[in-house]
Amino acid sequence: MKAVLLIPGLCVGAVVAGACVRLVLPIHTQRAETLDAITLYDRSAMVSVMGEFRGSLAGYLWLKTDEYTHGGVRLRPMTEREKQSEKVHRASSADGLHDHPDETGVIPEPERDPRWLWGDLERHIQPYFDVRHHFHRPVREVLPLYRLMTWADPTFVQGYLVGAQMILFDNKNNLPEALAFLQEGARNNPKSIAIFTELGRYALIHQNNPQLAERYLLRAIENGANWMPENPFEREGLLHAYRWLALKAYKYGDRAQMRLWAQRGLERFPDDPPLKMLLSK
Amino acid sequence: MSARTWQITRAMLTAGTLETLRRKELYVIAILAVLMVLGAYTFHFFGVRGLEIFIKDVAFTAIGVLTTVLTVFITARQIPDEIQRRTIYPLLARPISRGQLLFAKWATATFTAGFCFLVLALLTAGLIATLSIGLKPIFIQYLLLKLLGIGWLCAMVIALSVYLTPPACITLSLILAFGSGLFNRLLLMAHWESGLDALWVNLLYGILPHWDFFDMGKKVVYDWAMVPWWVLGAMGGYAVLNGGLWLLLGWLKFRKQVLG
Repeated sequence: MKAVLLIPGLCVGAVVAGACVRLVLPIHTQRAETLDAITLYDRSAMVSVMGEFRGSLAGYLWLKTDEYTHGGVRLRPMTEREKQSEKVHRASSADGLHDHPDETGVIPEPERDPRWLWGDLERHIQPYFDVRHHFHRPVREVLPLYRLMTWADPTFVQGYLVGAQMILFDNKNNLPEALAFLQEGARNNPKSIAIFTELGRYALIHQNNPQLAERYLLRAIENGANWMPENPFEREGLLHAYRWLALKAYKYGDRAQMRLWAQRGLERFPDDPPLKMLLSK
Repeated sequence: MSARTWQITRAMLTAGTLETLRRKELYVIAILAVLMVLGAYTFHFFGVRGLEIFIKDVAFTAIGVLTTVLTVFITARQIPDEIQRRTIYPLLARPISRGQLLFAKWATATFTAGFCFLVLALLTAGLIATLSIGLKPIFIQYLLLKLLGIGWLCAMVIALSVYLTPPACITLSLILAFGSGLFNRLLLMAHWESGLDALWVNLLYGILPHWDFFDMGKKVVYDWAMVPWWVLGAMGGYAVLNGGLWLLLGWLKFRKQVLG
């Protein structure tokens, strides 16, 4: 039956599309650069295909988290022309859950919608709200997705990073669960920079344990020694590792250490204003 | 509608529904939908709680995709099958005009696909209710809007089926149905980025297919409130006008088509 043949066809198409997306989007192709064994996906053709599938599933769930927190309302990056326009509604969060840098709604607001009745119909039929200063649905609803995406692909570092933040955002008493989630990420990604930086930040801020924080942050720097990650999460993790080490030294009055870490950080990130400020203190 | 057209339509409806049941397409689709919903629910057994929205999302995505595929497949074969099996000759030997035949075939496809959709949607709703996941009253509007959309989609596919070969008709119909949201976005971008006039945007919007406008699945998933009823009225008007235009286009070709 043709309909029955179409379903496996669609599944194969989804896998192929996922592979194409990974080739097109640098963030996906660069994700594996901190894997302990980068050949995890490449050892055999079957492992490679399964790796694509796992990565695509995790990527799909990652995109879904944004849709879930907005009750189905979809956001998109603004075009250059839209960034310069004052008419476009810029998305902003009223509850501090998400940052929406240069984002707007996929369905346009009535003020700049050229469609007359069509626009009103779409705003009624599809989920729509004014994206300015909007609230989010309870974080609890998206937590299972972070669990699923990191089960599907344990190398999906950003899933661990944001998932842990969401666990804590849901309830401040959930610190042990958030830490356990991050530690699971560290076990699965021992070469990751960002996860160890995040563990260091948690140890410093939430656990008030500077020794443990230093160990994690030094591990992050060790993982990022002698190479510069292209993956934005890992790159930011490396930058933040230097910043947190300098800030930790500042907090405990060790100015020499503070300047040392700021200096080392600037050798890797010469244009970083916070590190420059810490160096000049 | 004349009594004669109604009689022809009723006879075709009975035959078409029996044919669909005989082909067992509905059963396969229903089993696939059940498997997808239960597949999503299995995570619950592995200790992941709070997946209600995820399960609803999977369920309504499955309904949307399977309904589109099923509607296109049911409709695309209505006239070509009659021609291929040569059963169209005894049909047209009777006092039945080609316009009446085309209309009856559209009604048959709409009824059959609508029936399959209702079975699929109610089965899925029942299944997710047994998983203690509730649905809000907007589900009623979702059903009504989708039924209107099925009527419109059947009109488009049946018109394409008299112009194109069955594989081409199925392919183009699926592209137009699944791609409708993308075409609409492209028009908007053309307006904002390239200065396409608002009048053209609205004219082209009226011509381009809007299958995505017949799907309130996302609102059901996220438990939104019911929409004003004029929205369904307006979409009904679009379905009648645009669907009527498609049937007219189909009839213009079919009335003079050399069969066989």
